[in-house]
Amino acid sequence: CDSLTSYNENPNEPQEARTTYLLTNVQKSLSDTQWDDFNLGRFGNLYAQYWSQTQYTDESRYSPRTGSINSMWADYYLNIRDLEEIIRLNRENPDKYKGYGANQNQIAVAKILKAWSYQMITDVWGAAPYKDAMGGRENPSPKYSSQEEIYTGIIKTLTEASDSIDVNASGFTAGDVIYDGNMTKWKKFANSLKMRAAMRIADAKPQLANTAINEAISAGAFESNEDNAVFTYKTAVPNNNPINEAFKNRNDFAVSEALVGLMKSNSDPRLPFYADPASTGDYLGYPYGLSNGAAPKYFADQPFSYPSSKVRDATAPALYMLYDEVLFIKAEAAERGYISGTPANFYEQAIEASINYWSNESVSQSDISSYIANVPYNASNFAQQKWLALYMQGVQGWSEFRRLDFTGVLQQPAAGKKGTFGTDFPQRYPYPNEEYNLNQTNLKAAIEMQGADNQGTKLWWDQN
Amino acid sequence: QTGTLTGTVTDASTGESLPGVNIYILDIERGTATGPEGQFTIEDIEYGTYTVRATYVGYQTYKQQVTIDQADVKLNISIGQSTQQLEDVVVTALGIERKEKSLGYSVQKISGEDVSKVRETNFVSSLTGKVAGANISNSSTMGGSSRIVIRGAKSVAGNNQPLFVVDGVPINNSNFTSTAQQSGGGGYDYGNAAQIINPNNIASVSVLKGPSASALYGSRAANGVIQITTKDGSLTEGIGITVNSGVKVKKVYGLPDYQNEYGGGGQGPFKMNSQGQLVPDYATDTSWGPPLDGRMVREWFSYDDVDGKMGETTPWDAHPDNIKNFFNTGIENNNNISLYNGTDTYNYRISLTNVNNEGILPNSSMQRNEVSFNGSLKLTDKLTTSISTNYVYSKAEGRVGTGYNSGNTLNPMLQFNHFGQRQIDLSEGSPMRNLTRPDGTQRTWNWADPVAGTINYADNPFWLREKNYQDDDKQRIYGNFTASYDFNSNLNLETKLLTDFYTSRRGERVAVYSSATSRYSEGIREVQETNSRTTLTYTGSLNEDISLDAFVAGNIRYNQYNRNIGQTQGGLSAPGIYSLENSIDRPDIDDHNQESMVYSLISSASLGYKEMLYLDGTLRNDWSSTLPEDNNSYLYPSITGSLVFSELGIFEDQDILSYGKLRIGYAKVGSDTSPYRLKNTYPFSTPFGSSPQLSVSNTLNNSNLKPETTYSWEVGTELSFFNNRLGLDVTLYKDNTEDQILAVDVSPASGSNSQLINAGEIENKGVEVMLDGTPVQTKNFQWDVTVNWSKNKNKVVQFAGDISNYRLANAPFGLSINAREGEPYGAFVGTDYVYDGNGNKVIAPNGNYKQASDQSVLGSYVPDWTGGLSTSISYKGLSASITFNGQKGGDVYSVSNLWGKYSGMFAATAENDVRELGVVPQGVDANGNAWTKEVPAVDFFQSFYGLEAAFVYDASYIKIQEATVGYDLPRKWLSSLPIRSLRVSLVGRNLAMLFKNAPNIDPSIAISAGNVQGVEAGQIPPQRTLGFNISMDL
Repeated sequence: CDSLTSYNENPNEPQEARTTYLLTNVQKSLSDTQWDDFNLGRFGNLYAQYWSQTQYTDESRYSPRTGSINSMWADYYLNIRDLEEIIRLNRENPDKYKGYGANQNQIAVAKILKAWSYQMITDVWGAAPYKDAMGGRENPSPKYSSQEEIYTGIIKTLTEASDSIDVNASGFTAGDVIYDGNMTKWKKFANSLKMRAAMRIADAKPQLANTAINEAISAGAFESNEDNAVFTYKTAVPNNNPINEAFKNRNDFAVSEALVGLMKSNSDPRLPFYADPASTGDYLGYPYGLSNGAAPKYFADQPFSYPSSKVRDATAPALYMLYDEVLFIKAEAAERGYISGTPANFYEQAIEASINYWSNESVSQSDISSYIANVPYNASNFAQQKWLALYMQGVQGWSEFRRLDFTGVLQQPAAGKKGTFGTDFPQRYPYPNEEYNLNQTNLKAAIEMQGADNQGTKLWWDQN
Repeated sequence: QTGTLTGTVTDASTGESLPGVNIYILDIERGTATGPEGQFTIEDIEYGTYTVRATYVGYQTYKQQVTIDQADVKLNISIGQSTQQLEDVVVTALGIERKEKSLGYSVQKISGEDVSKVRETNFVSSLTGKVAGANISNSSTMGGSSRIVIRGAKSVAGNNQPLFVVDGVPINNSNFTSTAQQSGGGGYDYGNAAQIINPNNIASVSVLKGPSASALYGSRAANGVIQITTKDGSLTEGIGITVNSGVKVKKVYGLPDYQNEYGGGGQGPFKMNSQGQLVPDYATDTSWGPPLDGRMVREWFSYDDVDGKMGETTPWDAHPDNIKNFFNTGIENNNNISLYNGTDTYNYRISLTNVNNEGILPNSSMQRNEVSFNGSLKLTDKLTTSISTNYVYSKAEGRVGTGYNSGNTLNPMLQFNHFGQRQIDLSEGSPMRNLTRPDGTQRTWNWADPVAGTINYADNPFWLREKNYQDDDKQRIYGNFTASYDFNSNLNLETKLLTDFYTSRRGERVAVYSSATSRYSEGIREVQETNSRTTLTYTGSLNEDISLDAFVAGNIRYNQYNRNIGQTQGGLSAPGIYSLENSIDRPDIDDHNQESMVYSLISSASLGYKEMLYLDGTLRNDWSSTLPEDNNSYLYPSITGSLVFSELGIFEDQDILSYGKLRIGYAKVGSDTSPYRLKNTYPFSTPFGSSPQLSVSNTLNNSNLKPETTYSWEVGTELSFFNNRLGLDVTLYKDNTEDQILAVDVSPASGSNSQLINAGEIENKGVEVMLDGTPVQTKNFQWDVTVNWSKNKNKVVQFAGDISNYRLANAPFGLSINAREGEPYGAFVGTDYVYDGNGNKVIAPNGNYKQASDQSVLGSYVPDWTGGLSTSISYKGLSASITFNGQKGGDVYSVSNLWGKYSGMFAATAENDVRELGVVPQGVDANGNAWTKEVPAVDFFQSFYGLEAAFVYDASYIKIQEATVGYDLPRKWLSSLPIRSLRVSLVGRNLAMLFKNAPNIDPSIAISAGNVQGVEAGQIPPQRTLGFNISMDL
């Protein structure tokens, strides 16, 4: 019955894919994963306290929906799977795929995005499948790696990626929304990310941090806002900014009182780019984590500011990493003695770069200078300014305030999960309940290693 | 020389004389009809011997040799009603008629009359409560699904419903609703496709329950077969005409218990505006607002002049019947006319049906028109051809969305049961019924800003009905062509071509000015199955005592499914135009085609010894295109036997046991899978601008699949006593389905969401009991009782390796429905309370119940047992019957109870002054001391979010499924009219819920026909149906 088999050829989906098509998909999908109304709106930007929920405030009171934890976890790993596919195709059949960009450059791009994704995963959950991940049919239940292993791996991967990039050979010939095939920029992104990863573990593994930061700087990191790693959305659904889409029919998020309060107190010139004025014309933050009883009342009765039209615009980019962060890292590296230079200088350059990015260079030099004068370099201002500069990069903002033990301006939510996990602010996200269903043995071993699976357990890099 | 034949015809059981009976002398082709007293006369018959035949609708055909050898020959005929004849012949697999006593497996027959009494628009639902071992659940939406599962779910991920076969044609029963819809996440239930089977045309239904009964249908019959034989025109003198006409009304009942003391809003008093008027909080879609004390307030409709109330205040009043007022009375008309005629060489039947349905929701209607033709023609003595065709056109508008969807766009119940304000008036003439402002924008209560007209979450419920409606239509043709050749009286060759084809179109709208982005989606689907089969049959005997029936057949089955769905993106540019071309951005496209082919060789032999001992065997081999080339052939046998022990000598001289039979059967059935599951392919996403997007598939396909197999055993006995006044039929069975083809969920960290594997075993074992009795039987009066009861124990025995769970779906808000090792199929997994050592619920210091950190099994939708009881009485032409239906055990997860309490709409949130006094939760603190402090009601009722255990309820129920009263007008009243019989009846469906444990909802209502059951979300309330039917034979 040979002819029977011919009925089973799928006419709906191709059996082969160009790596350029895979790349566009994975960039779009990773951007949506970090940037949508759940993972950014109801998680990253809440846990960083950039935003407040206006009604139905459960997430801001640290009660995430199990479904959104599951899907964020799955989305990161399935994106990593697609990045691995780009690497696999280029390795297994270099001749067939080199037409879409030099094989080693394609592989390097995939590795950089992979490193970015794994850092997101481990900064959110801690230990996670890493070495044992992507086992496919052979290993459907991967073991967890410690956060230390993951970070060591991330830094190694980024080093390999940076080293293997041939800036003279072709990058992706199409489909690269972030850098349009510009391998020089990818190389800078690899090194900037390496600096981010290294600084995150500076308290836990200073030696590695030191080496990695120096390596990255000498290999070349971001040099201006031109180098920023951002994914720019399009106007048309479904390729518009997910936050834009979320605000079309609902008004779930306002800017937080913590954010607006701090910016107003220092006359921060970025405020109009972070938030829209309230109905009164003034910028008014929304209290963080009101109870479900109080929030609707506040929503109905009080004027408050929504996030800015800039970040809600259809084509607003998803931010992977900005130039100012490299400068903040240099400041801290100088402070820690990893590199030479004056910390305050890097710090001031960082603030300037951030203002220039957000204002599209529309703030005058003198206004920038007078703002910097309001927030002179010191440990507390450094933490606050770095947190402010990471606006809309929720997980980064939250990670830095965990690491730098920055609390002064943050608000405690009303009753909720708060108080059930022993710390004032969440230190990590609970593991997805899917892992309890599907990978229980390995998950339990990870919990054994890392500590209870609640939001109060500190991560490895958060040493004090 | 000639003579005259005279006589009368009477009913064999009542002795009543029968007018209008056709009397026919075959040899000379002459006939007449009996008069008012049943008398007939045929004159001028040449002397000789003739065959006289008497035929009458609803009666057995009578044939008798008569010799005319004198001037006056008398022939008194007494004929029995044909239902009595049906008793001992059943239609089994592939349409083969068998004597019931020869079967080694359980077949339940249901007469056409039984399923057509009420003329349900969904054929499947009319089986409810009538089939032992079948679990039937019906939806409450217009045209919605009915789900039937016989002897428990056998397949973890595949279809678990029986195969529907009409006159040999397998009827597609898919419903193509989304997983989200099936699991309560919002969508439309378009109904199971087999619902269109027309009860007016059904002669009889055989339910073949176990695989042994259906081994001959192959793969898809592992779940049993519902085999339907339609009426034909055989042996009617003259043209018979039957007219049936009915009208039914439907009304909702069983709405949740609402509170009517407090109005909408969050907590706290009214706001006061600059004119000093009190302003309620319309932005918040809960009912924790101020008491409904009649104070004058600025209601939501006072911000425009549509109702002439601009700027005015109106009383803050309760409207206890508001939800009830939202619904209409549904009306359904069902009209059928059939014409039939038949002789020895040809017969035909034509039937026309029209069903018109105005739903209970505003702007909902459904129509169905059907033409059916059955015809048979004897071309020569040996060659007979027949044809059966059915054309059905159905359309619907304004089906209601089911379940919870976050856009609030489909289901008005969400603002009645989930998030809403209790005081909203929905009655006739209320402001809510004026949907729009003069500029076309929507008016609703849930203002974010009433002046600007921005809406927070909830659309006006009438807007949802009038503007955001769906429509669909479907054209379906099914039927068969048969040619049959008798070589001799023993050997027959038959070839059949059977096809079922339909095409459907569905359009779904969200209008401009809705709270959600406007959109339109349109989907076209084509579904086809064609079988062609040739069968060689031998019927005969080996000697005087041993009979042999055997056949071999070859079958080719071809299935095709094409769909093309487009959905607008970014909204609609021109309001009111519903076309994909009106999309602001590039429409999203889903274009899918699939086909599959199965070749089969089938053989069967049946040996009978002295009509007492029977042995049957079947053997079938299938080759399926969906399996790997080296694994696509699978062979499966069945063997069954029966012993009619009451024929044994020892039972001769007694009058207690009238009939006794033992039966035993074993069968194996193989099963394939759906197409394209062997190789991995790359699915598309909408291009990013001009950049195409492909990704790796999230399901890992498997090139090493092998067929699934079901092994089943059954033993049973049929007994009847006291001259058939009491009957008992008991079956015990055990089915194991192994090597299930499953896309099991795996940790996404492995690089896919799911992998296709061959693993998993489900076991079903159970018992079915049918008891029927006739406690009273006199000449004019009869009382019958039928009870069916079945208990099925279902267990997921094992999966492969590390995998111990297969998730069927996630219900809204945290609960999942699973197949889990060691648990019944359909296990609910979610968050439980924390209990202390003494079984008390533990309460955290803030007064909320502690929630367990791990998820656990909270229940299952599988009931402990199901049962039905029907009883009927008849006195002369008057008859009445009632059917009760129920289940014990099983669970239901109710999202309405979660949000109805959270939002302060359900009565529990205002009972015993809890809003003033607070609630003292039942439980203990961390030290085990009883909790005594009050918790504010709003905090208490909102603290259950995330605690799914609080909303899992026992799904036991007993309801009155059906009741009818009918009257057959005495024939003598009709004798002067051109009417042979006339029956009028009153029918009722779903009359009352007599018992249930789940509050605020009807636990028997299903959301869809899929494997995901036991989820209630925004339930459309049940409807009581009352109707009147008139049926006449002309």
